Parts: sequence; C-alpha cells; structure tokens
Amino acid sequence: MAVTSKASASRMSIQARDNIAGFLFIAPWLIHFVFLIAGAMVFSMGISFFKTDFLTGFEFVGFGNWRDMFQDELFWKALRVTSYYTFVLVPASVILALTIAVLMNQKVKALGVWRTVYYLPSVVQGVAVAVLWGYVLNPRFGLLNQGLELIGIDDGPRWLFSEDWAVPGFILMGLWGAGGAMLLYLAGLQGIPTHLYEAADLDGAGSVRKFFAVTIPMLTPTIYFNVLISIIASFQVFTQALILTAGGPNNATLTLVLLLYREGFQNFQFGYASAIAWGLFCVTFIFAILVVRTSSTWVHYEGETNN
Amino acid sequence: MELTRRHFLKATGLVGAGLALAACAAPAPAGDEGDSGQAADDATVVRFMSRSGANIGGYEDTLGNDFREEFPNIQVQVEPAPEGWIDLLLTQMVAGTAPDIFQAWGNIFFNWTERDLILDVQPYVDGFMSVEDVADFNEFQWTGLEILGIRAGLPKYINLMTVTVNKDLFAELEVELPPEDGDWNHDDYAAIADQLTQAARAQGNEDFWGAWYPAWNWDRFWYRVDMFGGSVVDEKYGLVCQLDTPESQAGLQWSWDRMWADNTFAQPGQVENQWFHNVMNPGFVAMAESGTYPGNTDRALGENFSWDMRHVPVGPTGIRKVLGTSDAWSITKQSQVPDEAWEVLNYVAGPHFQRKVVVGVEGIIPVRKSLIASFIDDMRAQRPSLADVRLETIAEILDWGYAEDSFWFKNSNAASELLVPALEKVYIVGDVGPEYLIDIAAEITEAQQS
Repeated sequence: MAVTSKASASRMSIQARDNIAGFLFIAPWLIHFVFLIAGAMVFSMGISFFKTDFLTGFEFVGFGNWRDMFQDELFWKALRVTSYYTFVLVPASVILALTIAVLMNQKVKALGVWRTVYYLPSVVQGVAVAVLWGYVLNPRFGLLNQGLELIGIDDGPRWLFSEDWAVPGFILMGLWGAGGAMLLYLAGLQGIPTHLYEAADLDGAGSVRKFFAVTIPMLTPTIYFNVLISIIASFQVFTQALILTAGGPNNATLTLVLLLYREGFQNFQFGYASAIAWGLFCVTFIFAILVVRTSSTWVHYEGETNN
Repeated sequence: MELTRRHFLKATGLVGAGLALAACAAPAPAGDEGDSGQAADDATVVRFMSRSGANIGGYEDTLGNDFREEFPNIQVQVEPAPEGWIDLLLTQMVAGTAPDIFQAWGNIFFNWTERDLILDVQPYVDGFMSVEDVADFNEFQWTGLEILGIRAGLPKYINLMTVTVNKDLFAELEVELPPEDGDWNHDDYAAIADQLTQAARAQGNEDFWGAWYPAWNWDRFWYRVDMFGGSVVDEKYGLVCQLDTPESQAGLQWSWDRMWADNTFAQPGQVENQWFHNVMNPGFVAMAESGTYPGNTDRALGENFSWDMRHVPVGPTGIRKVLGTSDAWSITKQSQVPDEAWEVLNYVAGPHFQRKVVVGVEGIIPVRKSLIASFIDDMRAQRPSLADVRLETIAEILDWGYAEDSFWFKNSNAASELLVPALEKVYIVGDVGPEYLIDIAAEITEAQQS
C-alpha cells in the first residue's frame, strides 16, 4: 500500500507538485478574486445594460446608460475633476517622495527619526486624514493659511470653500501620504551599485550629473511601479470628497467615484452607476496601458542591454 | 512519517484554502436571537435599529424591561446603527435581512417610499389609535409623514429652528438681546448682528461676526424664502420651481447680503459650514440659527458660556416660519412580524417611552403635545443650568404653529442635483448673488417635466 502511494506520488513531477502547492497557497486570494471581485465586475457590467434600482425590477436599456453617461454634464465634470487631481498629484507625489528619499539617503543625524516622521502619515488613512485636513485647510484658522501668513501671504486661499482651490487642497492632502512611496525610493536608492557612481566620478561627473545619469535611470523601475499604482489609486479618490465637501462647492470636488456612489445609493440608478464604474475602469485602464506601453522607452533595468 | 517543510507548507495551504472556502459558504443561521421571528422563550423577536449612539442603553433597558412587561410575547432586539447605515440598510433590504424598525427622515422616506420599501402604517393607525391619540401629535409632523400616499412611520422627536444666543457675548459687547417674546423682525435681526459685529471690531476683534445661518443647506434656506412671501416650489410634490419670483429672490438676497455684502453673518469659509456648536463654542458668533437640542446643546455650550434661545424673527410679510423636522421610526416593508413591529413603533412614539427615553436619556423634544409642559420641567430637573434657558420658546413655537415640514418636488432627487450645488455657489463660494438661482429655477422646472 505504502509502495503504491509512493509510486503514484513519484509520477508527479517536482514542477507539478510545486505548481499545485503554489495554487493552494494563493487559493484564498483566488477565491476572493473570482467570487467577490471578478464576479462582481461581471455582474456590474451586466447591469450597466439595465435600468434598475435592484428593488422594483430590471429593464433592459442596451447602451442607454452608456449613452446617458456620455451626455451627462456631471460625468464630464467629475472626469475633469478626477483627472486634474490625478495628473497633478501623481507627478507631484513622485517628485516629493523622491526628494525626501534622496535627503533620507544622506548621512544625516537621527535618520531613523526622520524616516519615521515622513513615513508616519502614510499609515494614517481615510476618514481620520480627511477630518484632520479639514482643520488644516480652514481658510481663517487652519494651520496652512497661518503658515502662509508667516511668509507674508495674508490672504491665503479659501481652499475647500472655493471652486478653484478645493482640488488643490485635496492634492495637498494626497501629498501628505508621500512617505509610503518615499520608503520604496529609499530602498531603490540603496540598491544602486556604488561602482556606477565611482565610474561616474572617474568620468568627472558632478552631483547633478550623477543624479540624472545614474540615480534616476536606476530608479526608473521603482518610479514606474509608483506611477502606475498612484494613477490607479488617484482615479479612485473618494473619501475626502465624501467626508469634507460632499462634492462641493458647486460640484468642484465631484469625483467619479463620488458620482457613481450618488447615482447608485442616493438616486437608485444602479445600472447607470455601473456604467460610470465601467467608464472609470476604461479611463484608468487607458492611462495604465499608456504608462505600461511607454515604459520600454524610459524604464531601465540593471543588466538590460539596448539592442 | 517525517514531517518535511514541504509537507508542512502543503498542509497549511490546504487548511487555509479550506478555511477560505468555509468563509465563502453561506453563514449558518444565527440563533433565534439573531433574526426576526421566534425567540427562545417563544416571544416574537422584533429587530430595532437604534441611531442613538451612546444612549442606546436607554433603549435596551426600556424596551427590554418596561415594554416586555407590557408585551411579554414580544422581544425587542436593539441593534446599533453601523457607520454608513443608510447604504447598509438599503443593501439589507435588497438582501431581505433588514431590521424591522429603523429611524430616518424626510428625503430617505421619500426615496424609499418611492421604491416600496416602507410599510404603510396608516391601516394600523386607523385600527388601533384613537382620535385623541392622533391629535396629540403635532400637525406638521403628522402631515409631514404622509409621503406619496402612505404613512411612512410615527415621529421620533422634534427638531425646530431657533436662534441660539451667547448671552455672555451680548453682555460683553453691550448689545441688547433679541426679545424673548419673539417680537422682532428681519430688520431688527440684521441690526443686532451689525451692532455685535461693529462692537467686536471696535475692540479689535476681527474673528467675530454677529450671527451664523446655514443658508447653503437644502433643509434650512427655504423657510426664509417663505417668510419673505416666496416659495421654493408651487405645491407639495410640485413641478414648478419658484425661486425666480421677486419675493423668493428677496428672501434669498437678505441671507446673501448678511454674509457677503455687510458680512455681519459669518461666511462659511470664515468659520465653518457644518455644526453650530463648533461656531459658537470658540466665540466666533453670538447668534446661530439652527436646530434645538436642549440637552445636547447645554452639554456642548453651557460649560463655556451662558446661552439661551429665541424665536426666529418674523418676515417682512408678517409670516414667521421655520423647519420642523419629521424624523421618525418606520417599519421595513419586508418585516415578517409587522403586527408586533407596530406595537413597538406605537410604544416608542407613545408617552411613556417619549418621556423616559427621548426626553430622559436623549434630552430632545418629545413628539407628544401632552408632554411639552413636563418636558420643560424634566429637562430642568435633569440639568439645573437649563433654568436660565427659555425652553418655553419651544412650547410657543408648537403652540403658535409656525413650524413646517420641508418642501418637496415631484422629483426631489433631480431638484437636489441642481439646487444643492447652486446654493453652495451662492452662499459658500459667494461669487454670485441669488440671481444665479433664477436660471437654476428654470432648469429645475425643466428637470421635473422629464
């Protein structure tokens, strides 16, 4: 009996056994993804072709919800707001996080303390951050405008009470969490081989030249990862818009996710909300693909040869 | 058999996958305690969602003891409303797992009644409530809960708009308080706000304004329009937005002028736009026109300064009007135990529960006319500091009958989508005046037709 079972086990190759073990390890995630994410996505795609509130029935409307979405001024406004937020926050966040990482990579005193200070905000998330920044951004009594006053700007922006300054306020809020990306850049910086800098020294390169010719190229894989993840996350901005401004004033902070939340849970247009969700998915997908496709021109991997 | 690292990892993976599968499976039915239906002792369980936060103990005690004594065959299971309860309750209703009773207010009732999610309790009212019992509710709440042809529930408590005043600041700035008897008008209101603001400026205080009024708020702006002889919509569930009429514009303009022309009322960006306690506590304003929550307000403000309440002033047309909310308890349409849920609903809107919990624990205004006199005494017994607060104002508002339920369009969601951003632009951003609402009114009317 033992001999038979040993023989059947040995018929399976090591590779196959490793594969089975691997799939078993990822099974919880896979089950979660298939049933709770992919399943929900397929369902949401399906209901985007129906007019439904989930309660009084389903009426097939074909591409009606999609057509409505393209004709809805609020959708375009939300897309503008979300794009503005994303395309300012993502580069600003990369620059800020990289700058801090470069500073943290120097031989400065109490480095551990500084790292903790910069990283700490990124572990505080969601509603707490939104409420805190609500106070920071108060035009009259907030920390930010008080700080601006100290440098001579007496009449600071009205931030969340202004159509023009509300999104920049959200962007500042987003930058507050740059410490998470900073840590990745720091890891990337410490992984750059010193011989590259030594070679650059021999060639007579100065600090600035070394930064742009060695540091940045060697960090591009990390930058690529951060940009991709940040674009996807920024297009989903929601909490601060819901908690702090409810999309106002005058829809100045109406983001795409807030719009779909309103349409679904407040106006009971779940079919239409699903169409918006897929609209958001398509927009994010397009930009993610753009980043991926262009990456071969600007992302450099160590040991890679350009043939 | 030797346990290798590979064996261990495989076994762990299998156990993990098994657990994940078990977690994905349908949950085992909760015990009798968890569902509407039969309790262990054969009593019928009614699930009651409470939004009372820290006061939930008062609900559990009274419904678990006093109510149970009166209705031994019904067990009330009090469940705290979770964060984001509106979306969750809606999801539960779709899934068929919602509690039997919940508490909400106007626009939620409107939306959910449109989708047939709320039980019409009118047949129970007709069958089990006497004429005297019904007459003990305030007219504005009773009619306010008639939504789209059904009775959406029974009132929970009353919230009325009054002017909360900081008496210490009035004394410090040597300005006379508004009259207790409500004999003042909007010119007086503006003049007092101006006197307060100027007096503070004379003392070098730039962070002070006479008053605060949330005119940007859908629920709060309309009664001022009415007081100036205008109206938001032509009738209940009407189709025509009337914010473009000269009378409506005059009401809207008055509010705008106070904030953006003479700035004797604080602009939202100068203080904040959400909660009047946050505006009054730091001493930014001496008057705030907002809701009336005697216990809560005394706890929040009373320790910092001496406060009081006043009637809102009468409008130039002689009309005085404020929002009187119709917050209520409702029964979900899917309830499997509607008769028992009705008993609970009737009990919590009844005199005993209202006095013991709504007044005694929550410190808010009861829905029964017959309790108003004792409410004032009860509140002062609970909080002696309220002896200096003119709670009689509340009794007068109800007695004079100037509180009203909010306005309703036929398609209130479509109206709200246009009106809320417009109100924010006019009163929060302030870069345009109320004339901006003339075009918006036309758009709202057009949206009602489609």
